[in-house]
Amino acid sequence: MTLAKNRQVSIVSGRADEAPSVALMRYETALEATVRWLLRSIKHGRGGSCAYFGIWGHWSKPYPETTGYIIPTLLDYAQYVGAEEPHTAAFALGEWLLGLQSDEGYWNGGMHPPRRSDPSIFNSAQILIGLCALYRETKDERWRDAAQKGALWLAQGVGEDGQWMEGNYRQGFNPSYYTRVAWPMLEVWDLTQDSRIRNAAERVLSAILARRKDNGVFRGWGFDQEKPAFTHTIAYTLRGLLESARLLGDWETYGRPAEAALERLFRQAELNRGKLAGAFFEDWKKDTRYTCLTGNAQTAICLLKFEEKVEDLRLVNAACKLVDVVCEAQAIEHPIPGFRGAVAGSSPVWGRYMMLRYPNWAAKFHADALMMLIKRLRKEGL
Amino acid sequence: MSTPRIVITAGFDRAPHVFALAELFRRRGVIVEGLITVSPYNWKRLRALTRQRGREFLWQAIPRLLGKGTSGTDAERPDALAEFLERHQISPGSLRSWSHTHRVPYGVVPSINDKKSVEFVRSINPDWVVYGGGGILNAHSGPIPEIRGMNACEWSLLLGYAPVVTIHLINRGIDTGGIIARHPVPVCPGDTIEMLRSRCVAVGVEAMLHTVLNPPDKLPQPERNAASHRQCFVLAPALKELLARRLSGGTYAHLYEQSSEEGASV
Repeated sequence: MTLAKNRQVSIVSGRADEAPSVALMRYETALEATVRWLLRSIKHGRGGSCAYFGIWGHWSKPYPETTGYIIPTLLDYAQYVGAEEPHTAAFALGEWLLGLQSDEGYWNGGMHPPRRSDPSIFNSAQILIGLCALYRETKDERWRDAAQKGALWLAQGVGEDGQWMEGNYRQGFNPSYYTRVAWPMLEVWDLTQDSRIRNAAERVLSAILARRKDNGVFRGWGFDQEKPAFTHTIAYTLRGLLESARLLGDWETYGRPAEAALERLFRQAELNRGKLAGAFFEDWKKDTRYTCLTGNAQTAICLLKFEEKVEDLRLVNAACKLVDVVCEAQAIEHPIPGFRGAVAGSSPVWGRYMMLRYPNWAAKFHADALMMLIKRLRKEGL
Repeated sequence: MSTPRIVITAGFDRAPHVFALAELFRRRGVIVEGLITVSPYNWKRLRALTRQRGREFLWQAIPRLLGKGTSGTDAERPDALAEFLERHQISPGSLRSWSHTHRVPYGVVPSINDKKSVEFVRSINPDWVVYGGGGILNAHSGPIPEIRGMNACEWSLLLGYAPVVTIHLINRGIDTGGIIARHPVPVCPGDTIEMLRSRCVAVGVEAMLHTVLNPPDKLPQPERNAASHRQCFVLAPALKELLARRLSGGTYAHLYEQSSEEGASV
């Protein structure tokens, strides 16, 4: 049974008289397998989506943070194939997240249930992305109100210096990938026009922009200041800037500073046939022992977002290669459902990022990248 | 003008276009002072090629290394390079044998950037080094600075430029050296990617000959914006398929007539 119940012709062919594109068929197959895996992670998620499937064969507890940003992926896919199941699942996830929101507006960090109360800046912000998507879909104010409450909790915690004192993943360290906190805050501002939220988000962005080095790196864009940054958090940082530039309508301030890093990643992607190093030091020295697959997919998304601005198929070419590497690492046919369509944290699977695990966010970003790529290639006439 | 003295470099021993270059230069009285071939059998090169183009490329390269050719010819339409060779009555073979027959010094180097290459060229001190897969005078299958790097012919079409071969000097950058001339490459109905590539090679050989026999009075300097455009790399399968579909679907029909008009001047 296919998820795309309603489609009359093959999605990839576009025109009934045209032979389907081999590349698009491959991407579509990977996309469907990935979304099916996400739905499986929800089936086992006790309301949310399981954080990961372990190589030892069991599903983890649900992860509110990534459950939040999986919602728009499911909505996009539902619209793309005209299917009910992902649509229904997205709303169920939203309801689950509403139930977990604190009275103050935050969500706890880590998996659910949490061991203790642990308000989390980053995790709360990622959930806002899902709530905003649900509001846009339905115009039901419950979603917007919950998002606004969450965003206000975030805004109230930001100091004049654009930093949070509490709620960080590492005590006292505001990483540069908090651009991806500013972005969801701006999404909420876009829906509510609440200037308190916008002002706070702009302070966060300013503090991070001040960390930009001449080589295009944003200091502290990894989980730990002393260690190299996974491409996962590098892409978080860049995506946050790109989306903020879009929402604020200001490429020069927020988009332009990301260009040098994007160009660097573009070249790296091309020179290594899509196999990006798993992590980079702040002088761009690489850790090539593994590829961070989710970082690969996220970088593809960033290049495609950048390409929306500069229109250059060379960037699409690099995105294809990045996505191709993730597709190659994915088992579309596997007897064990937890592995079927899953995307590992690293390639090889014992690489340093999410070692021996298949995280739901890797699948989410792979699905997003595939949908963007398919759409872009179809626009070109493929 | 005195008879030009040249050194030719080749990416591998049985490169048919370099064979054609060497032979045509010889026939037209140009003194081929030396021939340098890059050995395909060195670890660094194999590793770089595998990283750039994948393991499958190495398998595909074997027939080329043996001089069998893989340029997508079909019985109906031989490729442009094959036609070019036939027109000039050249049966390409080993460059080593050709050098031996014509008493041309021949060197095998592990890389075109190797010290041995530099010493070889320096000892001869030629007027031109002709890059047939390696060095100083290069035929690039696209307009520069717009299309720099790999698969230039394909990228020209994808990015909306009429295909040309640019004869330019090589410097430290990627296709950023001074431009000597641009030679249009015709686009014909029914072209495949392989046919176009092959035609670019044929135009490139002619253009190289033309340049060496009619050298510019003054060597051109690199343009200011030489590296301003994003570099091109090998096409991903999806983009290759897109180009193939566009070619077969007549997307570039507007270039057919234009090409035939300009092509006459080459």
